[in-house]
Amino acid sequence: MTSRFNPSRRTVLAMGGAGAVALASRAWAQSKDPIKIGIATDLTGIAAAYANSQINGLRQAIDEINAAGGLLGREVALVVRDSQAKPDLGVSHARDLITSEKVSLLIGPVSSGVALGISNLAKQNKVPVIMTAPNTPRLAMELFHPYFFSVVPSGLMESRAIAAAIGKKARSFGFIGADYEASHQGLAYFKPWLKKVNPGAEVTVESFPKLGEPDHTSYITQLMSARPEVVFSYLWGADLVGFVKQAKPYGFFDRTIFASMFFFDDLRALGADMPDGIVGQMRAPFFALEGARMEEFTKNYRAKFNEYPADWAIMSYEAMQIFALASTKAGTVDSDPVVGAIEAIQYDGLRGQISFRKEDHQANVPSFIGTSVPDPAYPFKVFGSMSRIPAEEIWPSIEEVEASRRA
Amino acid sequence: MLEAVASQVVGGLSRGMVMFVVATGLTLIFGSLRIANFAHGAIYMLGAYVAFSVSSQLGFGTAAFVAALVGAPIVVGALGFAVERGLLRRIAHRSHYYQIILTYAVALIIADLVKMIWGVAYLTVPRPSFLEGAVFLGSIVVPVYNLFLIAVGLAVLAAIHVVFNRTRFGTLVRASVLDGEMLGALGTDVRQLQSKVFVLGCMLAGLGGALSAPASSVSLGMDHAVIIESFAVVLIGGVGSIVGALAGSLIVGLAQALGILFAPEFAATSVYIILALVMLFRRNGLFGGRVMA
Repeated sequence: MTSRFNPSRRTVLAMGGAGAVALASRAWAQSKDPIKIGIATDLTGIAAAYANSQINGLRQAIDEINAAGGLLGREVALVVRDSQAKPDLGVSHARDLITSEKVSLLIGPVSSGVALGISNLAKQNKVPVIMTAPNTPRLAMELFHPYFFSVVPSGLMESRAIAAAIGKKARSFGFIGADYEASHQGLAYFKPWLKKVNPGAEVTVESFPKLGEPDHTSYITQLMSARPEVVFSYLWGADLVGFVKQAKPYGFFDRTIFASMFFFDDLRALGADMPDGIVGQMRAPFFALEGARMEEFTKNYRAKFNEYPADWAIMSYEAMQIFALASTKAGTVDSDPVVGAIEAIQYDGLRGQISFRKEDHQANVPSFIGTSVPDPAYPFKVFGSMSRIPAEEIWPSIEEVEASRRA
Repeated sequence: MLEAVASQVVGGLSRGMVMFVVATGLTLIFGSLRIANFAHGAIYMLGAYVAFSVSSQLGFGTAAFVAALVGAPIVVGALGFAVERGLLRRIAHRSHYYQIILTYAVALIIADLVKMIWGVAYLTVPRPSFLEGAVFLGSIVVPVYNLFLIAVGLAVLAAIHVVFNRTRFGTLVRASVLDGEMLGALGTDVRQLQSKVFVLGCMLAGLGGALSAPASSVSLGMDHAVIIESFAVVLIGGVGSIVGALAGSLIVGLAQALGILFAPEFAATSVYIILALVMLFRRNGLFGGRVMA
């Protein structure tokens, strides 16, 4: 298999089974072609850390599958490409994964912009694609097609979930998010749900720093001048980390309830700088997920990659296991039977029981919301007493989904 | 309302002073070597990463913080020396377009090196304990670190003022900005001088990066925002002008901070609006042709 390694095309072909596993599986690997899983994701750019975790999660799943004898008697191999967060590049890599590598499954990238292109390509080529990071609601709503699946709560679901969790806590709300489409959308989804949860509540101040803003100081003082009781944040990654560090000396977190999406990467980066009492929403917090399988996953993941699993790793791991389970049920990796099997799946995942809604192929995954606290077990803060907001309470109704497609 | 304005002004000043440190380096290189150094942002980013490594090696205390502020400029200054001697000097006789492309290539190479050395995860440097927290100035809250940034900016300004007005090196640099050819004709080794200016410019970028590491996050891509804003500041102030870099940084910093309060939809674009106005009415920038005031 190493002969397929072709660095001149910037291709990384990662064998599903590393080391001992690969040796043990050589016998059947040679007798049949491997089942290939393709991912063109944003290994360069601001989302690179998330893309790396996606790949680690996939590797973890594939190694387990291969160690247990492969899938339908065949080895599983992962083919990785770098889309560099550029939609056109992502699409051409994904096209090549389909036509040259003949992958049986595409895993989506991180960036929603790249995901839109790749999803469209999956539709044209009738290849299943599972999204494990990008979450623009357009994917499952107006741009839906039968080969698309998502194991990420959509942006719409997340905004509603946070409105449901904090809406009753106050009357005056502030908003901060980077000045690009997703945050403006996030606020647009948040407002009506806030009204629904608490009719007297109002968003009194809105702040839109540019994406990648190094100094949020003036936005922090702007927010504080308006004295909102709660600030809903759509910041993420390095922007969020910078904001938290800069807002802390102002006493921002003592005076205001701050509620934001957090990725594990943010908690790890902030370490002890993370204030207590922040309301955090997470997609897949390994420290709050219970069960022996989750424990074992974290143990194996740490042994292999020498780090704790980020949300992206957990969601990608689940996506790979869902595909494996579905192909086993279907007895093939052919697209249409696999799509049918995924539609009917009941997967006992790390985040709980996962199934997909027929109308939009959105997984019924919850939003995890808790409050930041120190935990002696970890060198970073975690979110304590996490509640699960079930997808069924917040995802768009079938009528909403259909209305978006008529528009 | 007055309090809100005062808070914005302090925020704008501290942002402006960091911008000044970085932009001064850029404008000196631009003025003396006549190179638009697109690698300046990447060098700033490298300074932040080096500051992270130095601080984490020394356990993130006050001593570690000071060591990082000193160490980062030295490391990136050494890199600047290698880039100038090894690359820029080789094509000094070619058209400026080649030099621009070369500095852009250096920016990409540095970004990839940073990724290879430090990985893709974003990092943070905690603030040292004596710079944590905030003080009250009248009735407004001001984080100590922001005051520190303003103080360092002023110290850099004072140091440059002394060097440029009181030393032979400073006089020669000013002369090289105003007319490098004439200076060469008078017998000065301009190449040697430009090499030193390039290293000095890089060190200022590295210091800017080291200052911003505890203020914000250290991440890939942090160079993009800085390089564009720095070029805007250099053009607003006038190429080669240190007083111009100071004026440009403060105008841009304050315009953005006050814009956020009074006209948030224009805050992010205020720097480009100012740049466009300056280019329309004063093509050489506010202080073009004047190195110091």
